[in-house]
Amino acid sequence: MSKKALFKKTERVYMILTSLGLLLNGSGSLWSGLNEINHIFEFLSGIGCAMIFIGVIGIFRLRKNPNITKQQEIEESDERNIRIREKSAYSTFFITLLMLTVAVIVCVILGNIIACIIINIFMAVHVLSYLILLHFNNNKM
Amino acid sequence: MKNKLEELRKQRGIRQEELAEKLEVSRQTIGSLENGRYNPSIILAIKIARFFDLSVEEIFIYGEDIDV
Repeated sequence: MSKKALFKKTERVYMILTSLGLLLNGSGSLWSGLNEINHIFEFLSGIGCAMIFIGVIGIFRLRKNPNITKQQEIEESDERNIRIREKSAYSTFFITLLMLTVAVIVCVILGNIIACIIINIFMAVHVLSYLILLHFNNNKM
Repeated sequence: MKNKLEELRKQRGIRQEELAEKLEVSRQTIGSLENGRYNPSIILAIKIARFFDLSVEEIFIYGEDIDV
């Protein structure tokens, strides 16, 4: 992809993000005024604010340094970075599994059976998705 | 795996940043390759070899071949 096309594509993504943020923030603020009991609209408004912030900062950085997109593309596709990300994700998988196991034990000790069942379901989904992806990638490569 | 990347780069008077830009990798990758902390993929090894106009074996020395 040419430098100019990449610049335009990234700028468009940031603009869409800002617009979505404005939409979420606007509708969230409007609805939270009408429905004070449900805090979901305040939550949406907050997410909208964050999206506006990321979008505006992104556009500002992009216009200040147009070469940033090429640098970002290199950082994204750099094979060492990809391997670092994969290694980190692999370790994180086992750390998450360990933390969930600890959470199950704590819930059992505290006698909170519902939380225990929910965490067990999370663990099962976590391990199952790992096994499914392992099988899928094994067939793909 | 050892390599002559640093030696070749310095011989040709190229900075790490410039080599990284030519190979479309990060500067950190070049640094790690030179220090021997990271072994490149076949694609990157071929790219490096083509850049220096040498064969892959002339730049990268596989562990078993070092003592030979």
